[in-house]
Amino acid sequence: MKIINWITDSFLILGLKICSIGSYILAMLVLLFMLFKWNPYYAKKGGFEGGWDLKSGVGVKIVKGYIERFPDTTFDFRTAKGKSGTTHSLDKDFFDKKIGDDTIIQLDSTWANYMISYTNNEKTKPSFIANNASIPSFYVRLKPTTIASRYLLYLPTLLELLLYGFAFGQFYKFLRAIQLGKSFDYTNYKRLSNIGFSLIGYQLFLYAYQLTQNYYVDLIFQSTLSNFRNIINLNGVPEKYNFYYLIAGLIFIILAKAFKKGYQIQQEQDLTI
Amino acid sequence: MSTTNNFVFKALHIVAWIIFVGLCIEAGALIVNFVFSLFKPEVIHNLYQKLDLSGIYNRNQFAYFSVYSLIIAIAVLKAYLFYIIIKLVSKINLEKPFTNIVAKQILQISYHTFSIGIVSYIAKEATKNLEHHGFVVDKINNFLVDSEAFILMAGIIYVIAIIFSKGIELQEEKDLTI
Repeated sequence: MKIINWITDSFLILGLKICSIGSYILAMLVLLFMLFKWNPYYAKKGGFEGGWDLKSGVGVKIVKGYIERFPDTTFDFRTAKGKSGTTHSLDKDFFDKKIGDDTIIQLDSTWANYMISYTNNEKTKPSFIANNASIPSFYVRLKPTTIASRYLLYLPTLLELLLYGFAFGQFYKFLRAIQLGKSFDYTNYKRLSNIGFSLIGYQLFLYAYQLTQNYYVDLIFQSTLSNFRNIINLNGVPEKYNFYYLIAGLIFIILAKAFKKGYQIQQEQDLTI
Repeated sequence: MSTTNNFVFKALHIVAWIIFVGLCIEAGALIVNFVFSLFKPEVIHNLYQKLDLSGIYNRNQFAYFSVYSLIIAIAVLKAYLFYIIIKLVSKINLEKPFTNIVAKQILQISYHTFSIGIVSYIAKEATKNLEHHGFVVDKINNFLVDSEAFILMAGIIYVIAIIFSKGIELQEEKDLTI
């Protein structure tokens, strides 16, 4: 029975090591993409559209925005230009929303170029910002087109993968030490503490990064019409920020402190005759 | 207790309290909305945080009650998890951390984290199934959590809780040593 338990534990520990190595490999791929715009499928398909996870860009959740409506107008947006070297694509399912009482904005393609048609039949009312036309939430995909935007957009992904690789690696070493009978070791305290601090550090980075990314998700629409006026203003936040990881990080730090105390007790006990 | 420990403790305590209050408000609002919707189904199109389940309710009441129950279950479990975390932070003494109460609290945290992960996974699958049948479910996802992360975290906390019980043995032995 003990042998079976040992084998099961070994598989679990091995799984953690595989997860750690896998995360580091994925981080390397993202780094290659950041540095050289390299993509495993790029050569085969001849473009990003057929690519890997990075093909459609970084997903950003739009949480607020407004739509300005003008009387007796019909717009037909066929192209959209991104700010600061990015292009956007919208998720059709999220964007097909009814806006106001009688107006519908529709996107005619999924994760591709824009083709938004907009009609307003309210001929009598002057132009106004429709408060009831706020867009609750949907997703935008950002594709970087310049080196700076590529670095900025993929940095959280890279850091996230490095964090996973590091955390899995630390936990693998932690469990391995326990398997070898070294529960309250000084290095175990350090490992738990490292996991806690890295979780907190990453969340704090994301929070600061959110401000930068907001700038990148400003959408600029271009129209085929000569008297075009921008009617849509949207702001975005990255979907990755999560309060629970902050709490988990703090719990890990407190448990690490407890393990440090355990290490001291263990040392005292070992010295007791 | 050192200054760093004190700071970490205070930070965790404050953050946990803030989140706990927020989660209680969310859970309370969802429950009140649910009870209210039983007597006045007209409000279903504008529930807590603009959650609109009228489409589901009109087509299939069983699906509505199932989905809403899962959302409430997740909200209540999350609030209770933070209640345990607050209790843990209040009771743990870093000069003498290995006590049965603390070990029990850590085990409870792991069980509840696991429950949240499982319930959220079921809710996500149910939502996907509803979406497959043509229901509009885009707002529901805001009330669900990352189930895989919660299950993984539950496993990690469980392992730590088991090792913690070994620490209790050490502490007891130390207390008995003359």
